[in-house]
Amino acid sequence: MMLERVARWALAAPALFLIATFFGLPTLYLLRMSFNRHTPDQIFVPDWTFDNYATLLTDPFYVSSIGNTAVLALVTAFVTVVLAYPYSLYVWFGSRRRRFLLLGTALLPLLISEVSIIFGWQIFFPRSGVLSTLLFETGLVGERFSLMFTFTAAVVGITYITLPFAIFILMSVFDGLDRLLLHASSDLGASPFRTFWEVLFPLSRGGITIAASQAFIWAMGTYATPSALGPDWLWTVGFEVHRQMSSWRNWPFASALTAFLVLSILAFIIAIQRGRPTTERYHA
Amino acid sequence: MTTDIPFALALERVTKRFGTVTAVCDVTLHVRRGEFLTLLGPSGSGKTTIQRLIGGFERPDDGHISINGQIVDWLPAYQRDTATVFQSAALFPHKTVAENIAYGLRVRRRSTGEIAERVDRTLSLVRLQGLSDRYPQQLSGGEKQRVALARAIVVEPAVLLFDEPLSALDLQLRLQLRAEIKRLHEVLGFTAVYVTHDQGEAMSLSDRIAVINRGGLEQLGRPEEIFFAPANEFVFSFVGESCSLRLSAADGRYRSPSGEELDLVLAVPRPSGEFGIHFRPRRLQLGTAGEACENRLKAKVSFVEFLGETWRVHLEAGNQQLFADLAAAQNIEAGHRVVVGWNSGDGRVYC
Repeated sequence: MMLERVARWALAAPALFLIATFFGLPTLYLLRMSFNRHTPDQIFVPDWTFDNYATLLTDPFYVSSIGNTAVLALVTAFVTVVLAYPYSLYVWFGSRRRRFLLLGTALLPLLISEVSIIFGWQIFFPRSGVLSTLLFETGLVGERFSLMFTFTAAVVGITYITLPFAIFILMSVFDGLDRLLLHASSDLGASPFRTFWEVLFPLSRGGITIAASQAFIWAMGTYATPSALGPDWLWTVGFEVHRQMSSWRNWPFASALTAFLVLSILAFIIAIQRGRPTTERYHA
Repeated sequence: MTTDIPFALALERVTKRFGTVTAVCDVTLHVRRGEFLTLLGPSGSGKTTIQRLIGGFERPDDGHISINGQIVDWLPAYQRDTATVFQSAALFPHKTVAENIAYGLRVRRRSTGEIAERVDRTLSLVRLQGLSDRYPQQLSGGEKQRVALARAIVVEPAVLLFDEPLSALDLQLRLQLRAEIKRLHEVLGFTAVYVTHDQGEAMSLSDRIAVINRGGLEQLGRPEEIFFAPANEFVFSFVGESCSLRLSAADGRYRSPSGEELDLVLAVPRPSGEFGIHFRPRRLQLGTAGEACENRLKAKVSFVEFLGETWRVHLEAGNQQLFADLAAAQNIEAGHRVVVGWNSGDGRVYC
């Protein structure tokens, strides 16, 4: 009873303390900061103003930066799921050995730091890089080319990081499905494609949503990869936050951008969760 | 067209191996149109593999399977005219009861009107009217199994397959649904191959029973034949309750495998060799009734169990255990020495 409740709190206390102290308080501070004012000679002047939010929502530069980030995140989420889904399906249908090998392989990118990954792409994408050389020397393309500083490179770079997570999310969803349902479907006369479309796909839609959200959130917040690999026009919100903080020392505006980013991601997730049909609740 | 072929399903010398294990060994079976055939056997006997071969989820290594006279060995499951009722029902959780039942018809591209009409008719056949908009997770175990039944019979397959459909239910429901399946078979006259390890289900439902053991066919026959004239020791002991004595005969004496001599009189004495006598416990007689029988054995009563309908007297003779089911208590108690008797037809001798 009493003791039990205390014990339960005690179990959660260390994590709770860490989150409250090192995430909760800074977040509150950040929210407060976003209403302050920045002057050329001071990082911030305490104030209660919506000017920062007004600027980021009206200034064409920031509006396009928000739009670019959203497009980048949506495309990345889409590409991630399109790649992760068949891969996970292949693993799910395979032997234990195949599972071990392929899930291990999927895990590898997570062992490398984002910065090292970026260096890797920088020798992969340029005109004289690995990709161009390989395709040119084998005669698959007639001319050397560069993908460096393109939207494609940015998407590839981010997907490389989001893919393992998506694969693990989808695997856990597939593992929760009853394979007998696929049997039952073909037993009733449905072709493999029909079985996929009528049974497997609808039953794994929840996993697709979660995997896509995960990739979307990551891509919304990341700034190193898109600014290192992407084109000049691809100013992501994350990069802009970085620039406002360290180049302009405009903490209030950087805070407003961050708050806006977090809130829009939150809104996106809530919208997706609400949009899921109630019939998906059988999973639990 | 196919009606001149009397068999809805034929297995000709079918063998299936998994690595070094032979799961199904040289099985030949012919199922007549409209017949209810049960594959009865213990778990691991290969009965489920036989059914998976029929449904198209496994391919035979040897032999042929034909449905309505057409060889289907290499036809994938979705191109075979079979439908299965699974033990776990395997209903599509994202589809309503009506959508589950309509599935096979939609896949077969039937018209919307026909589908609605047949789904309705089948829903009332399995007494599920009013539940058509429910999702499977809102149904009880028995209701789920009825939907599974409806989903399979609505497509009117050439062969309806049942994979232990009642094993997951409790006794009451099991008996109820068993009667339901029997009734549906009477009404619809479908051809069924029913897999079970429950001899009660096999007896009650089947036109014929195929007793399967270690991948092979032990006996094929009507339930009465299986029960009253079991072909061998395995069938005798697997179908119905039984007990047995192992004996070796020499110089007119009978001994247990452990060496004790038994006080045994047989109507047709065995001169020599090893053999076993198998009994139905209800056919054994004790005391004065036993003394009047042609075959007699002296035994000691170990203990008596009251089972409701009968009293079960556990006996020991020559280090071997037997039991007899009596309709009346007869004042028999543990420690008594009694004469166990049986008429010659009631103790089956297998060498």
